[in-house]
Amino acid sequence: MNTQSRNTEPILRVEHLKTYFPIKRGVFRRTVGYLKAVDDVSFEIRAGETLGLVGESGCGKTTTARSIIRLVEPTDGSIIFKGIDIRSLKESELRPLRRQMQIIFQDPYSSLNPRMNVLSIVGEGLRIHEKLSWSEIRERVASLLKEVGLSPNYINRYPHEFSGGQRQRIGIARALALNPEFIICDEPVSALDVSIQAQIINLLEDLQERHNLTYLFISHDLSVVEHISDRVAVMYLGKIVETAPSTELYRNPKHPYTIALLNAIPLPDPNRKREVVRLEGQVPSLTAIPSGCRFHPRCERKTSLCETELPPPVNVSLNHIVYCHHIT
Amino acid sequence: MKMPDKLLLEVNNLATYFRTEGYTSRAVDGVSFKIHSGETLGLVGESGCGKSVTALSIMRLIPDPPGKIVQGSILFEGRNLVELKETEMRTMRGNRVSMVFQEPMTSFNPVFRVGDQIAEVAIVHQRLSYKEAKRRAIEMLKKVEIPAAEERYSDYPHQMSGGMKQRAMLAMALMCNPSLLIADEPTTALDVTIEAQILHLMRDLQSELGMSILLITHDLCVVAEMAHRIAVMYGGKIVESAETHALFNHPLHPYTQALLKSIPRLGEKNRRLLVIPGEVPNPLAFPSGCRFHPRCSFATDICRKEIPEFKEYEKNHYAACFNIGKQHTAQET
Repeated sequence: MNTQSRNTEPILRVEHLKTYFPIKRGVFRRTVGYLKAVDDVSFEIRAGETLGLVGESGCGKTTTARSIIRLVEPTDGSIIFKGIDIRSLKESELRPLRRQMQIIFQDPYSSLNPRMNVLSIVGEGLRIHEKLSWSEIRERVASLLKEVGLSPNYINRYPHEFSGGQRQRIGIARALALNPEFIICDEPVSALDVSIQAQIINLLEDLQERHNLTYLFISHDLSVVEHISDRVAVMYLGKIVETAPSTELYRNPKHPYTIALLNAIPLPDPNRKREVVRLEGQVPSLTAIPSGCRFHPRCERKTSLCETELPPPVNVSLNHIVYCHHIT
Repeated sequence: MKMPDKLLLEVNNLATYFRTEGYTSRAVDGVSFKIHSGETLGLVGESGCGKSVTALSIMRLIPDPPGKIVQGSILFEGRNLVELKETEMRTMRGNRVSMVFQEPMTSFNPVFRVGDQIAEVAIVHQRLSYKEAKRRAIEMLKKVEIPAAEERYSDYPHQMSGGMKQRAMLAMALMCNPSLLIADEPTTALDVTIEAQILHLMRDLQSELGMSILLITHDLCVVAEMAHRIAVMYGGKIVESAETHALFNHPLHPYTQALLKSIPRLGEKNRRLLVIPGEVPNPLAFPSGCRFHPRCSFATDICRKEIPEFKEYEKNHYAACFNIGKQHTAQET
């Protein structure tokens, strides 16, 4: 969105991030294996930019997001936010950084505490991080509500009094409360009605421009991701398979998975004839990850090399990186 | 695509209300549409617009109380389903009309084998022996492209993935060769690549078995791909209906027009999305007059007071609006 900030230092650099969950069995809960939700993921986001992260359910996109703000503890790798490695920080040292990194969740029904009113939901961060009086907090919350398109009169209401779209606006106001620089949007429109999605997408775009925000935008919906992102990373089974500027990814996809994914999305165009590239089979389980390239059991380009060797990153053009042995 | 002409289902002025203490929810309020044999009708709308209640009314699965079909008729294969006794309806359900639901996770009974649940349909409706029913069920599982169908027959629902369960649901729904399949958000819970597989399968099965499909969804993209005709619902009423191409190429109703401009499309990155202001209406308190008027940029006095008539404006292209012909142009950026 913001062209002048394109060339600046990355605000966030994720290097070789791994998040494994132990699988425990038996009476003594011995660890018998690991579920490798995120397995060696690296990317960077520049200030003012939106990076889209797409993939199907279980590919590790949400775990990646949660690892970045340490809502789940990463197993390995480094997360460098504005030059500081977040993984090496103690919880108390992490706190001041937390206000600069916020998250908007997918489900506006479960992400707001039903027993708290709007004032305490949106104002909680202010209460903890800033020494403000109640009347000052009330004032700030009222102006935040206005900013996200809600009436300040709603300040004493409870979540059940709002519709899904309005709740998502409350979640956005909460994320904005501490003037963060970086916001993770985890499927922020997936649970909303079609006519409400555009409201929220436009709101997120406006806020980004007004506050020079940096977004990590997670979604399974490629059309939404392409619309809002400057660059897109495609994930499959815990790994990134392709990253590219979003128009480039749409016009010139290189990884067979990206091609299949683009092909699978239904478009609002009855004249389109789908090409025959259809992805057969299903996403394998994360506990039984295929060897070599993880996509090889479903890939039409596969050779014996794919079964044994992890594909290295290949730079096809500026900022366009593909992990595949057989780029055509 | 040959245009089918034999009428299979005719819903006339259907209204289904739910009465709870002091409130009446007019979930479906005067809905009429037709489905011809071999045709797919897409019924699109947002949550609370009454599309699922319409489907459940056709299946006569409205829980009574609190729900009740208060007016209208549902003519299916020459019989009015509204007037059938429950015992008669039971011979239709799963036999002549069957339904696939949104949630493949909860549509099967978790304590019985998937295959046996499919076979049961034929045992009940066609009085087949267990052995014959099982053979037929395996045949259907093969038809919906479940690999190793013989072994999969004995799976319990939790052993199947979401896409696999939705295939098994389809197998169950098609056991008795129904003439109408109602699919209520059949792919909403699935990933895109699996969704593409299921939609493709539904189209193949339709051309092989010749059934009609009532496809209910909130996703305009899915109907664009699947439906011959589309009916758009808003606030318990159908506001526009047309053949798919006509609806997408020149929508008449302001709601349809706005909806098509509010969805992001691949390859049109820099377009600002059109916003439909306000909220989806609550069936407990629909606005007066045209139910879309509080969110409509063309609304005038008459829209607030009177309900627009559902009229044919072009051949086979119907809409209910006082301001047909006005376009969303000024708002676009």
